[in-house]
Amino acid sequence: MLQRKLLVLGLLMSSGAANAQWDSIVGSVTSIGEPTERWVSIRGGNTAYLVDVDEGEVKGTLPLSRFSPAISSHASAGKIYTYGSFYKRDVYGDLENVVITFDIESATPTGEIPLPVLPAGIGHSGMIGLIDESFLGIWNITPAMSVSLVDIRNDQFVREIATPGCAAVYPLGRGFMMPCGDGTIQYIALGPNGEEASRSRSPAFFDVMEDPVYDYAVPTANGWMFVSLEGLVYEATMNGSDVVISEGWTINPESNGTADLNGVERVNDDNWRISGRQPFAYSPQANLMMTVMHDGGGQEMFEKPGTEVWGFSTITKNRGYRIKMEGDQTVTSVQLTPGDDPLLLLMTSSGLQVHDASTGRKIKDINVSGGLIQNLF
Amino acid sequence: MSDREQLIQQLLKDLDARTTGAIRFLAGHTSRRSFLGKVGMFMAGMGAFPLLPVLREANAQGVTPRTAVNGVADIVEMGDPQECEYWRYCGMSGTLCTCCGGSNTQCPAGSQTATVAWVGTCHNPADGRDYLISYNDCCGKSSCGSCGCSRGEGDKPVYFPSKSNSILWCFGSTSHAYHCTLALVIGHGDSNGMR
Repeated sequence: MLQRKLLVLGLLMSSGAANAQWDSIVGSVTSIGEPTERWVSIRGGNTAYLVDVDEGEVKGTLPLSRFSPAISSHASAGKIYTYGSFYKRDVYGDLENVVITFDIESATPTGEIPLPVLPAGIGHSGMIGLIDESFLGIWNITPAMSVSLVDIRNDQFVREIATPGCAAVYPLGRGFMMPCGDGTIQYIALGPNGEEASRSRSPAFFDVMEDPVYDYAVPTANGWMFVSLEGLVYEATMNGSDVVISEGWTINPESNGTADLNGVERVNDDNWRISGRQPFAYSPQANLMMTVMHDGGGQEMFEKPGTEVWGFSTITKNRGYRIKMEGDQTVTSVQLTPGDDPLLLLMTSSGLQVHDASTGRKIKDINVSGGLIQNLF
Repeated sequence: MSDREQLIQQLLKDLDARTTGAIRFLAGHTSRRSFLGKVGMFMAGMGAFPLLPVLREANAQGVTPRTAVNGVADIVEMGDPQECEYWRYCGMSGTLCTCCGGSNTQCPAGSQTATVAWVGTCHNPADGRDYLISYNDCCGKSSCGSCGCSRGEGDKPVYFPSKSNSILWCFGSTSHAYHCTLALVIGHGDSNGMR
């Protein structure tokens, strides 16, 4: 009887061994899958990390050049665009400037479009913009300022448009906005083939020497949000061919010596100022705005890391909460995911943090470091 | 002749001497149409910003050192040029060339000096005067990485480039690879008004 049991046991064990699923020694390659509204791109080094912030995982990476500050997502078409400058010997030798098209699902480059003009090698998401799902606009500085237009319907460089004194590409309709050194916002409308149809400027609403707006901007429902270094928030929209600037509101309202409804004197936070490489974010659906904040200093702090993030209701223009970084942590970038229930994303000195945007409560850390956070949708 | 007039004269001399190289660089890297467009934009830009305080590096041949020309031949120095707190670095953002085999006036061996720069006005604690500082990037090699320094006083967004350190200031170099940054004294800030 014992012998029979041992025989059966031996047969079972040998059967299991024969069916064991060992890994292939050559491995295999995954595909990324379909991105959702909760996917973002994180630029770190010469790489764009595609991160699902719901799952808290890096889903894939895109290889960039050392001169690729940002991507431009066309996720509905399964594509991501970027541009890069490549020297034959990495940092010297013959130069190629190209737009690169990536297929998102396979995270591989699928096309290149040569650029005859040197694009800005550093910066943020405003350096490249997808215009009306037809053109890519790429900001150049040589140091003359211009915008290169690439027709993505036929993958052709179209033309260079001179934009003296104005920077970045913020798409709106079939055209784009850009802040200018004379204190205005310029809008350039494009024709069907990328030709310049018209250009117009807002009235001057800031003084570049006194309180300039960031060259970084975020989209609103009908235009773009610009914020000055002293914390004045503006929206730029179009009314026909006119660029309209909303009345500014401040993230630092005067509260010195005043009391709240219950007679409690408010804490003086006048020394706090907006800062960071990606200093603010806005959700038009949730009416929330976030700012990276730094305590002390002057306007020269405008790109420095912050130690707090403030959350505002854009309906009341009131601050709803403050998030304090832990210990000596700092924060450089803030982003809100799309949709009615956005997540708040912070790039800190310790990696990416995900927070509930309505409460500010921290949900998770994601093990990815870098700088610019861009939504794929 | 005032310091300001001397400074402008020097600027014009430098422009003459260095523009050829810059144009050669642009022409070599762009189509003819694009190149002509750039020249047009540059000329338009010169009109729009007649006092744009972007200064070009002196040609090494036949040009009197700028510190003498601009009336700042004998600067009383104080502080360590390898420390970010050093007085010339008030508008600095980048890596100090003094830590990379160069100095505040010379790029490290094997790198190239950018011929266009951003400027700042810094206070010299040793003589109590303000000086106009030109921050020229050295390019063509991978980043030195030593002695990072980001003070950025007077820094502006990129649409105001002459005061913006957020631009890759390697114009005029054959490569845009950033290596480190110089801090050249090019005039008295308290007399030329170019802040």
